[in-house]
Amino acid sequence: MSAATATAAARVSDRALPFGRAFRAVAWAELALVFAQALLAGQFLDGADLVWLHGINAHALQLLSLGHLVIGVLLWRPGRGPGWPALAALALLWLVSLQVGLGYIRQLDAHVPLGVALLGLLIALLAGTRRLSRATDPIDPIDPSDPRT
Amino acid sequence: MSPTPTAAPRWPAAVLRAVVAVHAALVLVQAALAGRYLSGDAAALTLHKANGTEVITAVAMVQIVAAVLVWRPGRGRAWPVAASVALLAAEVAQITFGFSGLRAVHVPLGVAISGVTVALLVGSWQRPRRAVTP
Repeated sequence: MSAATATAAARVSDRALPFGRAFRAVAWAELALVFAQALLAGQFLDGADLVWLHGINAHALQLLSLGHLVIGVLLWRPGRGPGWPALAALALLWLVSLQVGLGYIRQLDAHVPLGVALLGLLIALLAGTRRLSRATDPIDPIDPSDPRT
Repeated sequence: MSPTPTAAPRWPAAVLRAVVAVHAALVLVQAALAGRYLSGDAAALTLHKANGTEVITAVAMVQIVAAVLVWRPGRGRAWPVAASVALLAAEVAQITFGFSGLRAVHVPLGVAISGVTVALLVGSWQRPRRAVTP
């Protein structure tokens, strides 16, 4: 491949980098809030009167998911990064909102496994976006799946 | 020991992926059963106990063996061995907390176990390290 294409690829990557980093930072924050939800759920199942805090934390998570979606869209345009993280953030926002609704109507048989699934999805999202926060994206000379080799 | 010219076997990685996938599915079932129990289904608690004490711990032990095989003779990464041992230890502790009714610890530890299982599931799909040819 030509050097010009390589430079173009690097420039696109540089544009997307701050959005990629922000996207992953928000995902880490969401993971922390989801874990806090489990801590709070355990507390009030043991008798502590903390359902209200579980609710406030849920809405904080909802707001964060909305911000996540915005960053995901910015990563795509103008960042010219991949578009799928925005779709993943949209799915996450929808699932978090569903989870909040299920919590308020006390549909615990769906609320508990969905909470665990949300944590799993966030970990998978963090694993899948590791490339987005790397400043340099070196070409792997022995990777046949790398389109630049 | 000098590296042997024979290729490392690939089947251990496939076995580990399968075992971790089963493990992750069973952990999600635990959450579903816990939710059903909290919704008033008493029978779900019996299944939750059986799944935790008998099925998941057995799968966790098989997973340690599979992770060791990925390391040697598979010449893969060693961290899944440590993660699988830690997971079994956490699950044994989790059973104790469950039976003692300490939900303030049982619920977040269950969520943490799910997280580690998913991380292992993702990690087990990583491509193996290759020999670097300069």
